[in-house]
Amino acid sequence: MTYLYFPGCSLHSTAEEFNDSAQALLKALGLDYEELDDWNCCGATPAHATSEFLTVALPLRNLVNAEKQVEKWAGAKAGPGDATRAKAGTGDPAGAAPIEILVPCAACYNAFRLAERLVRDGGAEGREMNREIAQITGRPFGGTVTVRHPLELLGRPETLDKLRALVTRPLGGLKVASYYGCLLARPSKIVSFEPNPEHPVAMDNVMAALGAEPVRWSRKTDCCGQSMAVAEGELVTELTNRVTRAAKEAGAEAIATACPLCMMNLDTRQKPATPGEAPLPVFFFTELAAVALGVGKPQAWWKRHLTDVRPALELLEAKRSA
Amino acid sequence: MPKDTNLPNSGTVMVVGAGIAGMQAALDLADGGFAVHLVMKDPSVGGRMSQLDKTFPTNDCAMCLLGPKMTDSGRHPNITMHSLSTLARLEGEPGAFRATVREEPRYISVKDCTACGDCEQACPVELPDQFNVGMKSRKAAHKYFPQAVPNAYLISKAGTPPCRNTCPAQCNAQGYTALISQGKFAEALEVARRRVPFPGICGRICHHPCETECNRGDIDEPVAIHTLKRAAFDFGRQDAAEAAKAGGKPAHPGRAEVTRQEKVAVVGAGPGGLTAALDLVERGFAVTVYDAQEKPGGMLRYGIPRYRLPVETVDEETNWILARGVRFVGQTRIGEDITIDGLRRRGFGAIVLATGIQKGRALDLPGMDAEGVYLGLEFLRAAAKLGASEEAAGRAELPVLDGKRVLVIGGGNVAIDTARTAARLGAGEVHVACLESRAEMPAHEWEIEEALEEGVILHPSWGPKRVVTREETAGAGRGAAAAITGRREATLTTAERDAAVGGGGTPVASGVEMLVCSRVFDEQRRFSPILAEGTEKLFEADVVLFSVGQAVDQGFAKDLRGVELTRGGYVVADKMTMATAAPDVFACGDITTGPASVVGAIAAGHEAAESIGRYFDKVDLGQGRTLDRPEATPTPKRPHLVARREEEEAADPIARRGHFGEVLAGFTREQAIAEAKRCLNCGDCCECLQCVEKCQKQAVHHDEQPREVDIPVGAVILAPGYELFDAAAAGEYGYGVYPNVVTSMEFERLLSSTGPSKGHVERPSDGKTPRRVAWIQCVGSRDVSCEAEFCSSICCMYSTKEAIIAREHDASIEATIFYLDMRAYGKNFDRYVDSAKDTYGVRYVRSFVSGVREDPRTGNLTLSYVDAEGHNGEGGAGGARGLVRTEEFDLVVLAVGVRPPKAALELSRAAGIDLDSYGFAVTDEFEPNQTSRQGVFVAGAFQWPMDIPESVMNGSAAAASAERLLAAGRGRDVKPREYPPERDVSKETPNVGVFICRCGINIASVVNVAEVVDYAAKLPGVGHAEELLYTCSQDALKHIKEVITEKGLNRFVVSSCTIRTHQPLFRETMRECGLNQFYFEMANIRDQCSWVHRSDPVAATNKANDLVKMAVAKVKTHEALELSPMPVVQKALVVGGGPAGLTAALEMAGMGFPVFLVERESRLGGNLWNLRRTATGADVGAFRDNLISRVMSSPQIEVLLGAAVEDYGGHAGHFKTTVSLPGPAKASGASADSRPTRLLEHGVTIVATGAKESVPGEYLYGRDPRILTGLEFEERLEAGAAGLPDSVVFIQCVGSRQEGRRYCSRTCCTETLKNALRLKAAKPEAEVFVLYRDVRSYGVLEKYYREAREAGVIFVNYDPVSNKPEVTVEGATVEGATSRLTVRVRDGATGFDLVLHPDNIILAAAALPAEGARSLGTLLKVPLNEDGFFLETHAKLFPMDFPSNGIYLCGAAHSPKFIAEAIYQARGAASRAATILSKPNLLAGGIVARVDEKKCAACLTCVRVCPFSVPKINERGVAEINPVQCMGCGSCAGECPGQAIQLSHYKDGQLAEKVHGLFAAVSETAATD
Repeated sequence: MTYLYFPGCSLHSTAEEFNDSAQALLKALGLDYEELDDWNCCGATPAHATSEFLTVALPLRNLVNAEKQVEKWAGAKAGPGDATRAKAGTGDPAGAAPIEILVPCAACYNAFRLAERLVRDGGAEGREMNREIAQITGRPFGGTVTVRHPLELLGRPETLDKLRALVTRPLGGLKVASYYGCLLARPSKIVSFEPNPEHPVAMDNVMAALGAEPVRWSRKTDCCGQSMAVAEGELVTELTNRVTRAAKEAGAEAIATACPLCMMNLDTRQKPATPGEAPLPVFFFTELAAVALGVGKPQAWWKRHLTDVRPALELLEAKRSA
Repeated sequence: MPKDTNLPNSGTVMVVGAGIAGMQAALDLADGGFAVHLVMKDPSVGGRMSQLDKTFPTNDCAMCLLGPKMTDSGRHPNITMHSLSTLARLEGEPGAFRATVREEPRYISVKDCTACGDCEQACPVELPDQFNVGMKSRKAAHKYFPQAVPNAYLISKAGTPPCRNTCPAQCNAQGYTALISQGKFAEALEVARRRVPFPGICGRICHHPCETECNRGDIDEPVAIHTLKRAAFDFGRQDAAEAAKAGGKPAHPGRAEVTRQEKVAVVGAGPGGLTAALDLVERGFAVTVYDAQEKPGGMLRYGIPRYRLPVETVDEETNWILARGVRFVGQTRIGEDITIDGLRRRGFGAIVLATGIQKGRALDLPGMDAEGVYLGLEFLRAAAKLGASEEAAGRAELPVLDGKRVLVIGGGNVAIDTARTAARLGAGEVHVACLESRAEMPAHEWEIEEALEEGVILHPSWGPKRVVTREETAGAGRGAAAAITGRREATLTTAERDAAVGGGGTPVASGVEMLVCSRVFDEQRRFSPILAEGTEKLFEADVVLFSVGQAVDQGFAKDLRGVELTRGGYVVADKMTMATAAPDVFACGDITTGPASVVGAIAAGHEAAESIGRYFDKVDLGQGRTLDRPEATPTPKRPHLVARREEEEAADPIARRGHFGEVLAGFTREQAIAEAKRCLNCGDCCECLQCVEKCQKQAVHHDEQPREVDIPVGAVILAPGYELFDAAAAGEYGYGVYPNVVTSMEFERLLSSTGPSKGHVERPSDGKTPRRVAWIQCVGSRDVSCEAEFCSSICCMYSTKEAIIAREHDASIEATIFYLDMRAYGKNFDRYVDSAKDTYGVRYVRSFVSGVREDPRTGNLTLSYVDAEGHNGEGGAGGARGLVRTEEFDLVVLAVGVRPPKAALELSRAAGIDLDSYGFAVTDEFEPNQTSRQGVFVAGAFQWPMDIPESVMNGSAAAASAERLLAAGRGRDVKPREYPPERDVSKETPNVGVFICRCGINIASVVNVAEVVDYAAKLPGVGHAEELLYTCSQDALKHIKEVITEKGLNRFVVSSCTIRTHQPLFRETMRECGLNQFYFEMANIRDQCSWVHRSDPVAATNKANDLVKMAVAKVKTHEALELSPMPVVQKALVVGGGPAGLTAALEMAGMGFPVFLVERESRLGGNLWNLRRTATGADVGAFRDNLISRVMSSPQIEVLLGAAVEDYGGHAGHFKTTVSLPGPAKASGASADSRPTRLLEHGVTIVATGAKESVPGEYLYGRDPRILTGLEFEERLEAGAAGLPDSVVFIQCVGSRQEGRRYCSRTCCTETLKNALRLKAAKPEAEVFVLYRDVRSYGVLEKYYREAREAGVIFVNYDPVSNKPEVTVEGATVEGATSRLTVRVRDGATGFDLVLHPDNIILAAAALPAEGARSLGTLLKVPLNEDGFFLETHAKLFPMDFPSNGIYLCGAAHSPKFIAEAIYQARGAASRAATILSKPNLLAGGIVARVDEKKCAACLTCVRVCPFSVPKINERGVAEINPVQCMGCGSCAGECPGQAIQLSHYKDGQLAEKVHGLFAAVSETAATD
């Protein structure tokens, strides 16, 4: 086994299509993974807004669980564990690269990453949190599992090569605006895996590998309004429309995102600037990848989108056959 | 504190870095009699300043200012330049260091290069020009910038590119690609042929591993390297033939001359053998090649099908080789017709075995001997003979395939070739079956694809079990094995079945029984196929062709005396040297390696030839050779545009099956050029060697290597300068993402007339002129997140300058500068910013820009910022404050900050010095140039960020430090040149020698030089005229000297380039001949003639004639001018005893010069008595006491206290100063007139009269004891914690930056920060407010601003016009105890009104020039500015010099400054002064102005016009110009209304004669015509 997979609540509910497409993609890439056992809420918005302790403790418990699971692989000799990988669980850091836990939801990823870094950086606060989590779960987080967003994995040159080789239905130069939102970008020094966190490119590179044409635009890391949608609906509508309008101005024919919260806002809150103007279809980047690779069951996913994605898909078909 | 002991053992100093600071240090040292080694990493001196367009605050052209300094450095006899060099190590002690310098090769000799630029013209490689920050391209052979010093070209190399590195034959792919990109196909062919003698063949059939490795593949697709090679061949030979027809060099170089006795035999005329043969012929050996076949070419001719490689190409390429003199003997088989021993007996001294592997491998299967079974290789060989002279032979050997079903067994290239050849020979269906899976097939993918297109049917993963005969199938009937796809057994006709059993007894093949192959390779990737039993299937076929490998023809192995073979029959040969067990036998190609590539065989052929050469020369075969390849260069880090690979045309798949015509068409010329342009030029220089061919001086040496030189030096000055912040690291501004976001340096180049747009401001995205331009300040400065806590000191001013210049270029540009604090802290800087606002309409917005967004449709950029000042959108105030505004701009300029140089760490290790946490050199506040290692000094921005004048001061200061250290070594390491005594020729008739320079082809290709020589020879007075290839070369100069002596010439004219660079050289030649150097004249027929009239050679020649005529006419009137020595009084006068004056005096004394130190007050120390601590906390008192005691105890310094300058006269080298002294007269209270005086005689004067704190006239100062100045408050702080106030308000800019005193007092912000921090430290609960306009804590002082904010000091911005603070005393009278101080101010950031009631108000009072400065200026005749500070010669380049030679200034007399700044300026002044005092004599005369007293009307015109204040009216009432002081500029001569002034060498008569010469000659020419 090579990876752990943390879906989080969104991917099991509002963003099931993200979950399905992400897993289809991982399988297509031949990556072994196992869903995290006994996972709990990452904390994301509710904990973040109410409790500093829970903000860290919730993801940390998940990370402790992850280490337990990895140890189980190593323990079970005939089990699914890959020999070289499983060494990580024995606490032998020289043995192999650490096990990575893939966290597709940007909000979950952000929460996990902050907690991981707090402990890893070895500061007083991190030590204290780890001590407390040890009291609760019986063991501290040992730092043998690394939090990874799937985009970081996909953006590596070798994975891009693999993707290119696996593409069966290239995206035909569909113009895609890669939208990261804030959670994959900030705080940049902790969360971002990009050389220039203000102008991230991993999703662009993935889109290009799939045969789409990424557009250059300025609002890749703007805030969509996130869960403020509940309290300040109008404000969020304004923020969301700033993003979609900028994407349109850049010539985008679709938006790709990596965040269920962004998806929810962009998918539901687009207001036409002029009457009759068509909204911009929004996809999880994994959905577009699955389409290009010809894996998964996209027809089921499209039903879950509120903005009709068919215009983009038809355009894509037309472009490909042209 | 430095020791004042002198180390006697060196007079040499190394200066590392040749920017403005380094050059200044080097020039001061060299002028002061020290030998200097100037070590620079760049190819030229000049540093950052050379890249700038203009300089602030004078708007002078940077290059115009810098040029003279660069030229001076370049031609100074005491300066040795080391370009592209770094300091590698520094060992030893001060006074006796050994510096190791690493010099990177320039590949063009500086000594020989004449900067003609021919190499650049020839160079095909375009690279981004670093000088233009990548905004323009340059060639690999280039000059760093037009004014570069040394004035020489160089070649940049980046290593071996992957294409060349990967190629077994090391074919220079980048070389021919670069040439093709320029349309130079013939040259490209030559380059390709250097390593690959078969460019046309390899261009078609090479498996091109180069393309796999091509770095371009990482970006989009690899360059089509092999197709380009084909283009080089296809078009190159056409072009070469045409050029030959047009009289150029022949298309073929002809037979190589046989220069060696030894003969070599090569066995096998394949690619390896022919390569070896060609190499050996080129080396002068006689070579005979034997081959079993009729014609040369081996597998190229007899293995590769014609549709891939036309036989004409093989003929052409083999003929080319034979025509070089290789003798070919065909139809001679080794082992049968010849033997090794036989060859030895025939006198061949060495033998190359290159037979290749000629046999197809047969499998040991049942039925292999059946009719219809053939080996693919033999089949191909026979097919290759078709369509050529061997047609008949070929036909005889080939089976008839018409419509038959063919099965090829094998998955390699030969199998595919076999299948496709079969298809072309008329076969019906062609099937290929192989063991490997489709992905594993060893044949090249592109070959398989083409085969599939042609209808070949693949059956991967099948292995043959046995050949089935017709007999069997016929007998077996229906139920036998399964059939091949598409053909059922039932279709077998009866006739066929009958035929199968008939036919003379030999069984006829009808197919192959195959098994499924489950794997081909085992875990170790060894060939170990597994065929699954029980999966038998019959593949029916009429003809079966086995292409499953090759085998050595064992026949050749007979009689291999001494040569060792492997079990498989291959020759054992050394992989590197190709040597076999027999010393005289070498082997190469497939016979040593097994089946391999053509290019591999070529490579081996080269190596075998090399070894044979060594064998004959008795040189060790292995010496200097290695199989290791260097690391290939990575993808160059520069922007690359995506460009798809060109596709060559391919013949229609159906049609091409019918014939052997070539499938691929190759590129068209246009395609080839376009494809070649995709090359990234990974190696920089492509080593095409066009430059070598073009350079007539033979100055290009591509094999130069880096070298290290050890240089003994006494001291080292480090001036490596600074780097600019990488703007991409501040991602929020989108640099590198949005094209219209540029850095300040890029904008600087956009403004420059030598820049990418020739000075037109164009935006990068669309070349349009931007209208709205925004500057964003502090990008990478004052930003902890960018690891730059410090302020970069220069950006506020350079952005202001850029805005002004942009507006000057184009008045429609609207300039906006977004800033945090406007740090215009230097001399005249505030005035400059005011002029930007008032005169140029530049808008300044105090706000931090948080991000930049782009409108992708227009490329315009939107900035968001908090509008603190309430702009109303029309550049005025009055709008709402504190709103977030967005504003659109066409172009955004990022004011990028200063960084320590990247190489600082290495340099610090090499020099053994410490760096601070920022990466700048560690120095002591009171020893600003001293590093942590004795004898190693620092200058310029490596110390901390500083602007140009500070760098100049600093450079001079470092020079002074080195001079003091090495005082006794002055003059030791520089030797004056000796010349023969001058011959008096004034009585002789002018006999002029004229030398016309061809300058390679620079002049000669345009001007008809021979005609000019003829013309010159006819001119009256000319005794000799001739042309020279390069007049400036050493041999030419030697020749000129001989001619001058031989022919008794007494005048000398050179018609070549410019006096700017070459006059000193020729004048030197005159002196060496014993002639006065002024009997020389130059005519510029290059820069001002051939270069500018390229298109009109006739007119250019006429112009050259005219220029020569004029020069000859003038030189005849020249007079010998004498430079007469004037003795120097080697003493200095320093006026002022503050920190600057004391330092200057000590510095001069330390260098060994006696000093008079004149101080008006009764004690030394000046302002040092008022200051307690510096910002760093250093004790000023201790520093002061130490300084004074060192001055008082110095035997060289005579201190005159209470003394004043009363009279001043003389000139540089000998001034006479009268000072009044506090004598008994003063004691009795008499006036100064009656005080005793003293006459001081000295060679130089240093003015260091300082400044003082003003007495504030506002904010109730003086009316309430609680209102203090900064100095007064500092006094209280020093007194101790008791009684310190609980709350204070500091008010900044009291008396500074306002009407009547429009300058910044520079130190007050930091003084306030210091005092605020000290109060906070003593009393953390104290409330501290600072009311400021701009916090000007520049450079590393920024730290204190941050600390103050962290300590809780509250900063309130005020506007002096609209919101000036108001101070009142409330509640009682001034004396009353209950009164309280009130300060009212509106906070600029929030717009709120604040009312404060502090215990104390501290006023940052302005600095004023010292009293008496103006009268001293009048006495010394040196200028002051409108603020009363002394005015230097030039704000940028001469910040310590006065226009009058020999007088210098330093310290606060120049402008307000910190102690450390005063110290280095004082040292700098001392260094400048030493350039005069170090010489026993000054040379006066030469080209100077002289007054004819009889004509002078004393009108004072000359007095007013002289930029150096030299002329004066003497006691006779007429103008007098002191020749010692005169700079020879001629301004006075030009202006004098009475023509009373003549400038020698440029007298009216001489210039008139020059003009007369021109016209006289015209009529003469007309007469002769």
